[in-house]
Amino acid sequence: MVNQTYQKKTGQRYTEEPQGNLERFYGNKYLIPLFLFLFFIWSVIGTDFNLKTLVEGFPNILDFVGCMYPPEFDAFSNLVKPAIETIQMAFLGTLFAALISFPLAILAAKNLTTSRLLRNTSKGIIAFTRTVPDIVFALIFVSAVGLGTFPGTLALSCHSIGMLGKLYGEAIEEIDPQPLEAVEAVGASRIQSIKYAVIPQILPSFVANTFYRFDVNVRASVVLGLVGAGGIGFELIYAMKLFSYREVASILIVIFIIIILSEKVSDVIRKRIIGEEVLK
Amino acid sequence: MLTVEKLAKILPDGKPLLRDISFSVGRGELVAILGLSGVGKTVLLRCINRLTTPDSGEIILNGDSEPFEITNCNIRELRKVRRRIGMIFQNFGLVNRLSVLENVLNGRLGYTDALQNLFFGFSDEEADMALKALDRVGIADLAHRRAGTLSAGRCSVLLLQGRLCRSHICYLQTNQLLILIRPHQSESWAF
Ligand SMILES: Nc1ncnc2c1ncn2[C@@H]1O[C@H](COP(=O)(O)OP(=O)(O)O)[C@@H](O)[C@H]1O
Ligand SMILES: [Mg+2]
Repeated sequence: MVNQTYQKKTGQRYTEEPQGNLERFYGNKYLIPLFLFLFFIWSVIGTDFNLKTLVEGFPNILDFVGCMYPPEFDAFSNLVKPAIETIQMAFLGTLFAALISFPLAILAAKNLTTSRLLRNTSKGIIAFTRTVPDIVFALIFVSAVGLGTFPGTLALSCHSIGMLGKLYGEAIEEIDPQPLEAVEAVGASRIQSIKYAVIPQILPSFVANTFYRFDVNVRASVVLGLVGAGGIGFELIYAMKLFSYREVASILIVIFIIIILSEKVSDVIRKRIIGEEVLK
Repeated sequence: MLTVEKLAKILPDGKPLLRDISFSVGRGELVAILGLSGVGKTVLLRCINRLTTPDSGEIILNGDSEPFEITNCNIRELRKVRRRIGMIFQNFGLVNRLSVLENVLNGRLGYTDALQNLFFGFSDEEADMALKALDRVGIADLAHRRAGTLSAGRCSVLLLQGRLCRSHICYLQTNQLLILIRPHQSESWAF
């Protein structure tokens, strides 16, 4: 008796459910591309996207780029100091952001924090810092502490919390829950289980995300130059205002070098931390 | 020594999984819980160290010291109870990126002072103890390998050592049939 009803039930499940799913699946299959296409058309109209104007204006682009050539090589010696400042700003900004976002991410992670209030508060902070653009933070801090690299560093830290907190939090929520339960089962406290079961699992993505943010911050600091937040960005904005495009070109080259260097350094460090696994 | 009294657990979807489970286990006894897959064996064991909270019933652990009522003790007491219960998970629950030695040491987390451990890690005596435990099962040479690179058999031996790294009085294991290779027969495990 029991067995029969059981079979009936499962029989029904297996004949009916997949069909429903398939219909839904095919429905979605046409709906989503159609939606995307309409959105595409709408956006093209909305942004005045026009290839013809672009083609007609192309000679002007060449003119502009021509003004940048050759780069002002004499300017390089004056760019060393602002370049170092930019690296320092990005480094400190990323470091502070990482230190603040990690605890925030733990408090925001569903699998580590049970209190809903605590979780939503930290999620709110993370989302807020991501919403406020770095340039707005820079304006706020420039008005508070004056021009220079200090407000720039503060702005980068604040805005980076948003991205790092979100990515760290996602990594924490994706960990394998069993090692965490296993250390809890031997009587580990919350802090201990984070140290011995959570951090080892998220370390690779933690390192990767932090370095990626450093890269973003080097480039973001360029824009912050607009509001006088120091570093090489300040030089760039200054050169553009003076229409000295050859100097602009040399500044771009310096930024390019910084980015490439940071990529090399992050590769080395990531290999040291992640690569061991592959080697052994 | 371990007494389970009228234990009941209802699943989130409202179906009763465990109903009126009562049994007791004495010192030195070895007990096996048998049942079809999905019948609730793992849930029962998880209730015993309160990884899962039962809906009603009592679980009492009598050791050398005062009896613990596992079903309603606070976090501080729970930590004390848990360090006396060794549990081996179906999929081991090793931290794959940590070394074999560190995984054995994790078995001692219930004893270490949380703050001291946060800043200074484990003591030399504890590391020594863990190394000896590994040596006992003949895998001391693997101490610094990442746990993720071990075979399943070695995982279970390793975990057993980790859980034995303390004065346990009760030992739970979900499903895995342990295949133990013991080079030194002189050592015996107290279940
Ligand atoms: N956290 C949970 N939420 C919902 N259902 C669960 C949970 N844990 C276990 N179950 C269900 O309880 C039943 C018994 O599980 P388990 O104790 O693992 O069985 P087994 O006897 O094979 O070890 C299963 O049907 C499982 O789906
Ligand atoms: Mg099971």
